Amino acid sequence: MQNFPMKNICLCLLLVGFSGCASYSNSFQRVEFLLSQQQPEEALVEVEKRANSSSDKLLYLMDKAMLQRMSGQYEASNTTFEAAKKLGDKLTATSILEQAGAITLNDSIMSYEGEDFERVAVHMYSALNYIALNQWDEARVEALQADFLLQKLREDADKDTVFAEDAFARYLMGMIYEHGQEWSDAMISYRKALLSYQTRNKSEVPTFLKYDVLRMATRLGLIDEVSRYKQEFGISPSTSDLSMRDKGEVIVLLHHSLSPIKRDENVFVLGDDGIEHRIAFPVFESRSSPMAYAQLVIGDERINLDKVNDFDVAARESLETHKPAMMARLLARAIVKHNMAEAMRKESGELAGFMMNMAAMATETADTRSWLTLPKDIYLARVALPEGKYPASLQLFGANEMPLAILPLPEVEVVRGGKYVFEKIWVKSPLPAVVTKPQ
Amino acid sequence: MLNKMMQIVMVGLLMVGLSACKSTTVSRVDTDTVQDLSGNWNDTDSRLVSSRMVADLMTQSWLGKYQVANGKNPVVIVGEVRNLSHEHINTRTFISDLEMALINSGEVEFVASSQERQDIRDERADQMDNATLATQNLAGKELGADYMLKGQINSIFDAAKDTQVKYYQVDLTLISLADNRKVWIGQKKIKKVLESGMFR
Repeated sequence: MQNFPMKNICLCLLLVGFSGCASYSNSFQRVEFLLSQQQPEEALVEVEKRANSSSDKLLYLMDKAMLQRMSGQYEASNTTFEAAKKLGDKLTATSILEQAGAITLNDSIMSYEGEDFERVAVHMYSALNYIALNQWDEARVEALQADFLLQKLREDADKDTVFAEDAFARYLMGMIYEHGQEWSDAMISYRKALLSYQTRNKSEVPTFLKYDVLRMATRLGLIDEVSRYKQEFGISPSTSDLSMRDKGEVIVLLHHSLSPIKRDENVFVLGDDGIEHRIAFPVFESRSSPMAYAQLVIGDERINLDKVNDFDVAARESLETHKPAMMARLLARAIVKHNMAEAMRKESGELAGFMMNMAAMATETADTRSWLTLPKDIYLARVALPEGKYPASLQLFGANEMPLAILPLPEVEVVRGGKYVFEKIWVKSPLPAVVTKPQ
Repeated sequence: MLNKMMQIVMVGLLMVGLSACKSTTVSRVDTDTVQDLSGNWNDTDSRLVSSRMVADLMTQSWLGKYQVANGKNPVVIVGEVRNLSHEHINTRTFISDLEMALINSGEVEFVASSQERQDIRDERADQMDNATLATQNLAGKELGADYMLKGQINSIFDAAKDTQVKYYQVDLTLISLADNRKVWIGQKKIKKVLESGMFR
């Protein structure tokens, strides 16, 4: 006890100091609340308070860009996305210093590099920004970059990655190419989107995509493919139905709820040294949402929106692929910390060992960082309409066809060959609904 | 044990030292004779490509033919240059580089773009109301263009591991406004190889 060295205390304090306070996902509550109150501008102010964190810089940029686009600041959002892309590229290189930190402290010390699906989403949302600004050529640049990224990911996918294709990104690319009258590129993208939806789940192929591939195949004169699709989908639209000659298109996207949030879970794992070690492991918690389906009401028509992207699933799958490596790293760290505490106990007495153990416990937190301003999923409706003026709205329904919300859309004046893209965001309030007592 | 910990600290410091050798080096592969440029499309590319292409444009036969047939310099306007590449390229700086190179050649007359023309017309209309008679510029005296220069920037990117190849191709076409004839087609290619470091 009397030879309890000062530097040991310093070391413990240093460890505790490093570990920071609340985990990343816990500090997100206020942003979530503001989003559910349809106040993205306020949420943006909230997120901008985190501008100085260096290891979370990428997350900060992605959140900021997302909230900027929700607030209608599309140009500013794209500037932020560009910064995020640049940083993301830089972070793909390994930092030895951070790796060393991760082995001795916790995973949160490593710079957040972004999951593969998140990196693709950056391009998707940036493309949507450009579409909102009616700069389709710039959206096309994003499409090419997303294509390039997907190609790179597939090349690197030799190991344990499942993420090698992104159906919705492909679909969006197809839409952008089609707008630029690049029919064969559009066909290739639609085909890839179709294949990707089919490999996931046959029933998940969005209805409009079936018509899109048919339309493109017809235009390109791919007779075999046309008849194959007709048979496969059980639909046989007439040529005039597929023709866009006298029509314009309305495309509505609904960004529904928020992506799942990571929570800390303590797991006890038996190490090689025969001791059970406590490790903190991140687990995903989905956001609950009462929405069951959504309809686009335009003119006299009611069209169901199809789910085109599921970030909830993507996030879970992504975490699953990291699991083995993460488990090994966490266990190695637990053993290092345990050994340090043991050594200290032997050298400087019980108290020192105890303090070291406490420090080790305090620093052992799971890495709960993820891009939280992403939606849970994206729904889309695409409809071709003859020229004219159409009042429009988006209606959300819960279970048992219970109406949940009506999101107004501007009146659309459809002109021949025009494409009108609208986006809506809907986040359920995390607060419990107020129940009025019966009188 | 503490000695051991000192060793760990030393290793840590060594790692800090190592981590300083993060770098992206750019070396270039030659398609013609192109000067060294950085990774992305930048102002140097823009200037380089525009000046070389205009130099080529000025040495081709269409110019001499026009001057002989009409006894004057042709009037040219720069139309749209589409960016179909993998990068967000500010085509406006490229267009202004083109315009500058064209005007400075002294071989062609140049008219303002449609946006600029509208501004000038507004100003002229304003003069009709407000300027003295002697200083008014009258409408209907505009110089019509004989040719329009249009183009696009395309790219092919490829990557494996830490090496990336970027290939840009700029195509420009000079089209006669009288009869839609293409009188000149120019092409400029740039190829770059990027090596990125494994560590940061």
